[in-house]
Amino acid sequence: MNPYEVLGVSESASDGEIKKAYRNLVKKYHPDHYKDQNMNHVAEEKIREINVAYDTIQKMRANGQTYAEYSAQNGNPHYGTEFARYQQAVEEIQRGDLDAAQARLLQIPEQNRDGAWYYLMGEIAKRRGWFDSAQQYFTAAVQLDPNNMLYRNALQNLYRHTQYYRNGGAQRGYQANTDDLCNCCQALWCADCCCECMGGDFIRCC
Amino acid sequence: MVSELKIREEQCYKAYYCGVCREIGKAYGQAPRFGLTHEFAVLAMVLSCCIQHNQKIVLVRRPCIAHPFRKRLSYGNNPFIAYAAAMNVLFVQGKLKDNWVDEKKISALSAQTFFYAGGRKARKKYGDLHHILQTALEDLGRLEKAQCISVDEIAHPFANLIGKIFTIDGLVSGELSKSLYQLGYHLGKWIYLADAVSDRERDRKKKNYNVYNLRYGSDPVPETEQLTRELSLSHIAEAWEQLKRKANEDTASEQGYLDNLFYLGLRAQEYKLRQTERGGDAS
Repeated sequence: MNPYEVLGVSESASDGEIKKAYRNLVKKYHPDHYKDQNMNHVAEEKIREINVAYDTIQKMRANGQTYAEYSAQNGNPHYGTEFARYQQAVEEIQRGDLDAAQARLLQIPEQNRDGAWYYLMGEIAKRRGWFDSAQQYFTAAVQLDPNNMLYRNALQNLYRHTQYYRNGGAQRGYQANTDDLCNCCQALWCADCCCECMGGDFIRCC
Repeated sequence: MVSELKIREEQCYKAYYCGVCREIGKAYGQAPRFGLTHEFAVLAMVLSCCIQHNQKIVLVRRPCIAHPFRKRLSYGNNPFIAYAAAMNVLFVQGKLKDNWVDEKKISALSAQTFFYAGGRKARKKYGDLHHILQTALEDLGRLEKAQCISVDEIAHPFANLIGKIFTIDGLVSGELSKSLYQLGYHLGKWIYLADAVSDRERDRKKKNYNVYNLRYGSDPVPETEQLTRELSLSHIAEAWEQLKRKANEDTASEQGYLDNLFYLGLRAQEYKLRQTERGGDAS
């Protein structure tokens, strides 16, 4: 995509106009404006796209190139994101139209599927009650983008819902067996958290 | 811990069970009565708890075909018992047909002829649900043939079917339908997966399809897999709590029984499955 189009300016715009358009967009899509964490996340992607576009224009102008010359030489700038589709998919997920969101995400070619793609697919699977698939998608998202807290939290919170069942039973006086229902897994997870604090990590996914 | 059922709750359950059985006999003939399973009495109980109706339910005391010398309590004139009876007949027939097609069991074919007349009546009344049942069985067969390796995908047809049955295929709507579908979906999913775990050994010997064997060979199922099953239980509980908030009056016994089933009965089953998995399934 033409970086001038990303910023919404014409190729003949002055440096000042470009800077202004860039600043306005960054302000507009600042992740703090979005309360919903999914939208917030998508806004981050948009900011990344805007930054790439701005840097590309700077580079082109420094070399005195037009976009046609630049792209003939370097190909399209790689924004690393499918912003528009993600945004629509998030809206569809929020509306509860999971089939539409999934179909949209599956249109994204395989080489462009990044952490956000796997995260959103995981979110859809989770809402369908496909927890095993959700776990696999979230794990993939974390592996692709290990520093993203949203993905890590999604993976860790996936199993948190089981607390609902355990607590519900306990409230009715049905004591949970101490050996019961995956205490060992929790212990492992705690141990992993401690390890991560010390710089190690023996479960890669969380 | 496991057998913690109040007497009135147990009586209530038995009256539902007998009610469904009697209804099958009345509407679909005597033969299908022997195909009655526990799940359909539970279906009748859940629906009676949650869906408003204005029929006067009567409790009757009569002898029956299985217990000719002792009178049993049973509910009559309950629309959901009638519905559960029809579903049970459809289900058993679909299952028998499937067994005959899949495994060429002569017993299934001969049983089918006994069930046929009653089944036709149920099919006429609930054509859409019959269609959903057929599609579910076809989907299941197709996925098995393709050696599906995804737990979610293989459990989906059955889970979806049970979900649709719990919502009476769209007859109920709104929030209620959402909760009922969630309850049914995850109940169906859990039942399918629990069966798959307990049948691993048998399926391996007979070389039948089993998703867990395909995924893990003869190794025990890893902990995360058990957590996904527990997540289903958790979503059953969540849906059930939502339904209870708007439950009909005078259903304390039903609610008590179902509480016990969802929180304790299923948990005990799940715990047992884990024990057998840990206890060297590889043998």
